[in-house]
Amino acid sequence: MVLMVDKISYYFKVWRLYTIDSFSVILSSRFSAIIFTIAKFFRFIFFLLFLVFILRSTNSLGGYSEYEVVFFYLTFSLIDSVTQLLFREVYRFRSLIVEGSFDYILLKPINSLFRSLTGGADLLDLFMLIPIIILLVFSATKTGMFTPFNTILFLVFIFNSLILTTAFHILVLAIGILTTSVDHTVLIYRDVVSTGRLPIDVYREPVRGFLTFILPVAIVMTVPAKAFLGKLPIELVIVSFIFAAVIFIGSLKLWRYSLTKYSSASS
Amino acid sequence: MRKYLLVAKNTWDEYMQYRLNFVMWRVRNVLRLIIVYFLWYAIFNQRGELFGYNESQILTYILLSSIVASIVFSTKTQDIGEEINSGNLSNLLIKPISVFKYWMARDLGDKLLNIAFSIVEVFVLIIFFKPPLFFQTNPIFIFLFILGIGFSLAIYFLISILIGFFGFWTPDVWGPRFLFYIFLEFFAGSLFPLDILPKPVFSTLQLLPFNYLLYFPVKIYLGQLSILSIFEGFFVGLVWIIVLYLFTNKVWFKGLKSYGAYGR
Repeated sequence: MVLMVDKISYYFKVWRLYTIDSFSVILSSRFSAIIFTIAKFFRFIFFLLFLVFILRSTNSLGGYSEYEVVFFYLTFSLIDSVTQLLFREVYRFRSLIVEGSFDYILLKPINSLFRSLTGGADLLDLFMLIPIIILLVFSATKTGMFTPFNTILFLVFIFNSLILTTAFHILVLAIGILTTSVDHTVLIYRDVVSTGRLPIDVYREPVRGFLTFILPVAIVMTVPAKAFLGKLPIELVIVSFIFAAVIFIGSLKLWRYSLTKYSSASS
Repeated sequence: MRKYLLVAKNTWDEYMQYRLNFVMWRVRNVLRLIIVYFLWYAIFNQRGELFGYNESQILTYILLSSIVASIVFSTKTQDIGEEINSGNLSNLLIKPISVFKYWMARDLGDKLLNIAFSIVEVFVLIIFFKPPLFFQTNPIFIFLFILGIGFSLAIYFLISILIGFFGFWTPDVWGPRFLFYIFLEFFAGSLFPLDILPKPVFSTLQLLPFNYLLYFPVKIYLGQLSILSIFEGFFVGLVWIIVLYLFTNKVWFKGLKSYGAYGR
């Protein structure tokens, strides 16, 4: 147990150092950092305004009220921003594989997956979390479902979603080693999960079934909000946890397999 | 002329070399289209008319704007900033070709490939989802629609290379382009027809060039603009093309003076 705590504390220290380094790099190009932050903020706020504008005319979308739809969108934004914050390093992984620099990571006395996944946290996304959380709490109170039980349920499912997004990023890394293609895989992941900006019930079958059971976007993005609103069927609760566990274990297995196929080309 | 056609063909060949990347790019486009399509499908669920559109008009708008976006937004000019920063621009400057025509030829190859794929994708989606669609039969509107796309191509090309010219003064070329893409997403009309916005917002957007990239040509196709509004739109679009052309030229020559060919 003590060994385990020591290990976690060690990795936390390493993560903190990586994060400070990565933030220093971002700050070395302030113009770019400011522009990217402004652009992300605009993207977030424009879509929110668009939703509000539409819902003022229609009153509901897919059977959900105005504040419920907004709550779904903010839940999506929360999960997406936390994932971006933690796993930005994945976007830089391809060059390590193509140039063979991944060798240096393999040689270090830390877990190579930990380094590849979390070695370059993007603290700029932390700024985005402030308006998201404020608006999330505001819309939650407006849904009339803001109770301690629902909030705990929401946080549990958010944690489950983050396990799934972690698994997806591990899969992207593993595919990156096997095929040297990372950029498009991770962008496709982002496009697929962006279908979760709206409640999944909005989509027609077979797209809805596809987004629930084949590419479990619904489980990642929609289930926490549904649980909070008390609209989650019990079978989907069980399916959500099973999916997260299976995909996470599967992603780790694929990662280990991919390491055996790493060719160290160009190094 | 032949050398530029060869450049366009080379661009096509480049894509064929990296087929997986291209297929993934098209998959992303289809996903984006599906999101917007279903959003509007849900909005119109059991409603006859909304914001002055009926269901067939809005779904036609979304599908057609996706095809027009494939024509207008597919470009190789996003590489210009990187070419300047890496010093590769020097390779073009010493060749007996016009750099602007070279980039136009690259765009031509890119657009032809994207148009072909986009038409097939939308066709498959139409067969799959069977949406109610509106077909324009008036040849005048069809002609003006094609002319409108011509304006869109010119405006987008000029703005895109102008953003690339940031590379003359800063290595951070992706930040401004990312911001531009965000504005495009919301103000060009791919997510929604701009005239559903409150009148003061819409009137302001009509003065910006983004409006002419998707919204304007698609609205012409739908036959929802009067001939007078169409010609007003063409006039403002033409003013934008002239202003952007003159400004782009000025920035290009100013940029060349500060170009240090670093990396070469």
